[in-house]
Amino acid sequence: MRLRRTAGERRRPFGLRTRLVLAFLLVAAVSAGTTAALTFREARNAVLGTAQDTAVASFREQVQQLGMELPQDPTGLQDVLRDIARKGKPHPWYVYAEYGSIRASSAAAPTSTVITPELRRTARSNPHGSFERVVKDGVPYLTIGMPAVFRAGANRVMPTGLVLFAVMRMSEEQAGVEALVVAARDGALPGLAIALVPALVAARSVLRPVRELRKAALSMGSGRLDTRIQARGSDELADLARTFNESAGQLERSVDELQQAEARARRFASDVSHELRTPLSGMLAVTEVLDEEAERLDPDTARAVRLISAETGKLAVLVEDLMEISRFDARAAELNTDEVDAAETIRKTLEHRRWTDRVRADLPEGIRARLDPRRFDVVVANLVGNALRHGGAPVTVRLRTAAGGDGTALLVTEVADSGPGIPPEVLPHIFDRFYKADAARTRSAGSGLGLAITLENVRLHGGTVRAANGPEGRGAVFTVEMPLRVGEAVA
Amino acid sequence: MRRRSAAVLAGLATLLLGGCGVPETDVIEAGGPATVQVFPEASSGLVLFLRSPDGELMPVIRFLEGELEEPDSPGAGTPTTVAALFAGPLPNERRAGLTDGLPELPGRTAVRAVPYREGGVEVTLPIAVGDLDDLAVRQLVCTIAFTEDDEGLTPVRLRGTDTALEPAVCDEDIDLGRLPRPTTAPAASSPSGSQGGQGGRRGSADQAAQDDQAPSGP
Repeated sequence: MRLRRTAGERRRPFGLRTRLVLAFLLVAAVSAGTTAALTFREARNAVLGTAQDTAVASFREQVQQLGMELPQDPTGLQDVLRDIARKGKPHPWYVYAEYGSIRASSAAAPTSTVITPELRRTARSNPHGSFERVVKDGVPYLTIGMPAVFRAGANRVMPTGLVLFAVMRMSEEQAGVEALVVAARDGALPGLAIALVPALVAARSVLRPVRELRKAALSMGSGRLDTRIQARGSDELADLARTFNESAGQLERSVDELQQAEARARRFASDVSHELRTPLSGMLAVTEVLDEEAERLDPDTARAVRLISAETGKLAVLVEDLMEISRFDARAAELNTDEVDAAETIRKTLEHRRWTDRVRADLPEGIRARLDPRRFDVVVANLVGNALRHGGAPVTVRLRTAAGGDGTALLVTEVADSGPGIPPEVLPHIFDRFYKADAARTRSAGSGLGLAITLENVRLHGGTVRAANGPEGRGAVFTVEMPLRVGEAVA
Repeated sequence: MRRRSAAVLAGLATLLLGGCGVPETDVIEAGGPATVQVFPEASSGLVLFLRSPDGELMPVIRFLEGELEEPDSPGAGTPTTVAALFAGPLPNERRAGLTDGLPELPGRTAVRAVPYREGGVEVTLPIAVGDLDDLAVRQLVCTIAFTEDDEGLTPVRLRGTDTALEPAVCDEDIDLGRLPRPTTAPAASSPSGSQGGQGGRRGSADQAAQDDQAPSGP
């Protein structure tokens, strides 16, 4: 993350880290929750079971101590119930009795609203003790139904028809159960918090190699082919890192070879140009003498001599252009910027080439620009010369300033001609080296490198040059955009 | 994956939250009944079976006035006991909502009890036993059985003016609280009506009553 943040590097809502942490938390939550829930249930059942068993057993024991007449006497029954009610275990209870049409209880009301019809039916139809937990108004109650039987003879018990019910509040058990819930929760939540630590560690251990890989890929993309990753461990990510390193090495070797080949080719072109220059200088000196002498020769010989002279001049220009291009390719071209008046610079260019009368100049005064005057001169001269050669008169040079996309001030130079324009299929290649717009016209006045050199010069200024056709397809328009203040804008 | 984990979480939450607090339960059986002391004891008192308003068989034990009437000989005290049952509940028994649910007995002397040839005792009543409801038959069978022996295991055959019921035993403890059967139920439609004679040997009092009601049906 210390790298500058590109679009892909912002934190994603469901990135690897989030997913890993979520997975860890889920596992922790499931295991902690299940453990807590199961423990809680067991503990609760134990708490409730103990209370219930104690209550049922002690209720049976209390009832078994009774002696009674059959039929029951209602007032005597009530006394008995109050007596049992006092001995409630583990908690006090209310005791209710049903016998025939008699309903008696130890409480004020003779019947209970807590005892369910199911419990009554079971207790009256089934000669067994039974209980039911009931929650009424949020309070849990244990209700016990206990039919009373008597011994008839040695082996037989008969129901007396008396059924006793006990109703016991389970408030303490409820409090105990709630304490269990709190304990389970307090146990599970820290577990979740602790699970966050290995989750983050695991996420980090995965994410760090991924991040390094990403950083390395970015670094490779920006040209540092010697970038390598430290491959640690033996997991899949380490394998990936090693593969990356091997691929990077191969790529580096390939690029290296290519670069060497290219450098050799460039050096060859440069050397050839240099080697040609010296004899050409000599030849140029000789052709001047020949031009002077040509008038005295017979006409055929004079034409041949003049042709040699003209072609030697073109060859000299071509060699100069080749050497210029070679310097660009070798990154040896340098900008020597100076504060100049743009209109003045262009006007000088036109005057030196004696184009002032053939070119219409629209040059507002007072545009101060910082640029390399020599290279700007080459740019303007190449474009105007190209327009004069291939386009139709009149040729117009316009100068203006504009604001660029990023807010920097731009110096815009437009060279328009009134010729037939550039065919659309040629436009993309117009700045290519030795590209001839007209395939039939193999011999031209230019070297074929003029526009390429223009492009390189504009680029060197950090600007752009584009070719287009004017309105209605009439005339070609070359537009050069360069920062108004070259050195300062870059810095 | 998100949907699945959400389902897991929901299930977990249900497990955790749904199980909090003290939950309700169904009715759960827990041990035997409470055995109480009754006095007078069944063996030394007059055991009669009355009925409660809810249609349950309710034993009452009265003090015997005078001496026991020769308990070992079958049928000895039965006419007295049966007469006491037909006479109905005493005031204290009535206060508890108990009734006899039996018709009037035309004459006390008309009750006779003799040992039955297949074991047990046969009691002849001067009423139509086919008209008695199930509960009345069970009251009679149990009252007579407990008169015949302390544990009330003697089979009892009731003979009335109209018909004789199949021998029955007082296994009241199994049937305690069963709702009274409608006495007008057309038992003739039941297939058991014809074969009750062979198969109903250990049948309950109701079954015996039902079996014998079948032939007397319309």
